[in-house]
Amino acid sequence: MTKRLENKTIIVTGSSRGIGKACAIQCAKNGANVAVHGRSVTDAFNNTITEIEALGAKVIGVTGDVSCKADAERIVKEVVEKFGKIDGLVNNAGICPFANFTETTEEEWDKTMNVNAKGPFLMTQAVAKTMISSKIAGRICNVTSISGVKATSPLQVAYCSSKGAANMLTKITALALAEHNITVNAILPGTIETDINRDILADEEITKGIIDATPLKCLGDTDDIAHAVVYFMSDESKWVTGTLMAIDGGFIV
Amino acid sequence: MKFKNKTVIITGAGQGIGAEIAKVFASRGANVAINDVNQQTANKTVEEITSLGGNAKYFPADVTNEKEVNSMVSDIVQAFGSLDILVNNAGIMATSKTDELTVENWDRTLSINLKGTFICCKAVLGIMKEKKSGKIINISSLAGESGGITVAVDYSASKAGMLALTKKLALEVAEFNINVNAIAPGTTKTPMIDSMSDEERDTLANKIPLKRFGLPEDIAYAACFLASEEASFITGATLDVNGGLLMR
Repeated sequence: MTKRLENKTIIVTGSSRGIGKACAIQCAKNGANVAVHGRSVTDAFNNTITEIEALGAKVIGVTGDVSCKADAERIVKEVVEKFGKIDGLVNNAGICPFANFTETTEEEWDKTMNVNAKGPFLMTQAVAKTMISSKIAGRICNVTSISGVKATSPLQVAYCSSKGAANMLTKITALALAEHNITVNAILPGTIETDINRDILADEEITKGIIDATPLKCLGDTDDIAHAVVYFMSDESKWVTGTLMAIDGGFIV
Repeated sequence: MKFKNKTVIITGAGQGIGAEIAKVFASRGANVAINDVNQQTANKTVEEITSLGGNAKYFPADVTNEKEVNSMVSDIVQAFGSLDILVNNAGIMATSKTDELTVENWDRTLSINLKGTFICCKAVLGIMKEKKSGKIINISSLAGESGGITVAVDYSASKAGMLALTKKLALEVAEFNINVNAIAPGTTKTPMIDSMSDEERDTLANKIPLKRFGLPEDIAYAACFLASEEASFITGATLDVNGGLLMR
């Protein structure tokens, strides 16, 4: 297999499970040194690290709250200490709460905006500083959502708003970092079944509704996102920046 | 060899972006059908590919002529056994202002750029539906989204048309597992750019956040990404490859 990320060091936030884990694994398969990140050490976190080690890739585990500046800076410092540099950041960590609009609490709004929008801002800032000082033409990829461009569900007011913010963050940081040859893009997943939405999708009617509204008549897979991340992390996408790429089976067409 | 045993047709593959797309697919194992109205340049692309051990053949056809295109598709299937990917890249471009743009020019541009895309898509649907698999990639332009910078209105309209065609066709053929997507390149390094004065060229490049023009390979890699098996959940989408000049 051609290794498209040979010698690149890539952080994937929220990579203990789900889309993040798939991204970390695909980056590792493509030759990258990977920093697996989770909020805290869990079985899933440790299992992901073990799986990546078994692929023969170099890996470090880092923990912390991406929405906390001190944690974001510490995470970046630990990765640089281990691997000497950072070539790519995948802002994947996210939460997806569901609540009726009139019942959505201020705490839920704040938490959702903090993880989904502030987290990518803080991590991008911390990583970009190291890329700039090391003169690395780095790659940043934000895993946002089609919910950032389309009003998907009224039960996701905070979520949709946070993903809209993350999409604009993508574009404006792409502009801010272009002079340093750092590209910033976003992948907008449609519905991919992971732990984040497994409970909701257990309702057959809800799942059927989503599938019916999806031209390709299926849900996505975590690898659908992971393979696109590899493209955005690689040299091949060096002239792509500020782009929002929907991977959703045609849902938002 | 990601595209081993896959057959890809690229229209307008005699030069520029089309030729580069052809070369990159060939280097990744694809059987490449080179289509162009210019036999000389098309054969040059074939030669460049085969000299590196790749598999390519020239299939002439005018994309605006349905009969020729249908015949071409038939020939390609006969030569390579099947057909998996279509890249609609053939296109012409001019830079006239609207009051100087002739109706003949408009008709010609729309015919090649948009009608040609329709004709080629239609021609491959039969076999793709039968196989319940296929990839169509339409090379549109930033001009199709924003109007463009140096181009004439006929070009902009034709490229915008390609984007709408992409979306509607994607919806129509999704049930057959056929993915239809577009790439919207920004200002790419071409003979036209090279022929500008240094000052004109620098002014144009400075407008781009990444401060440089695209290379044909940037578009080729995007096409390979969209054509890959791993991109099977992507359809009806437009991938902007423009150095940050337009962020939708």
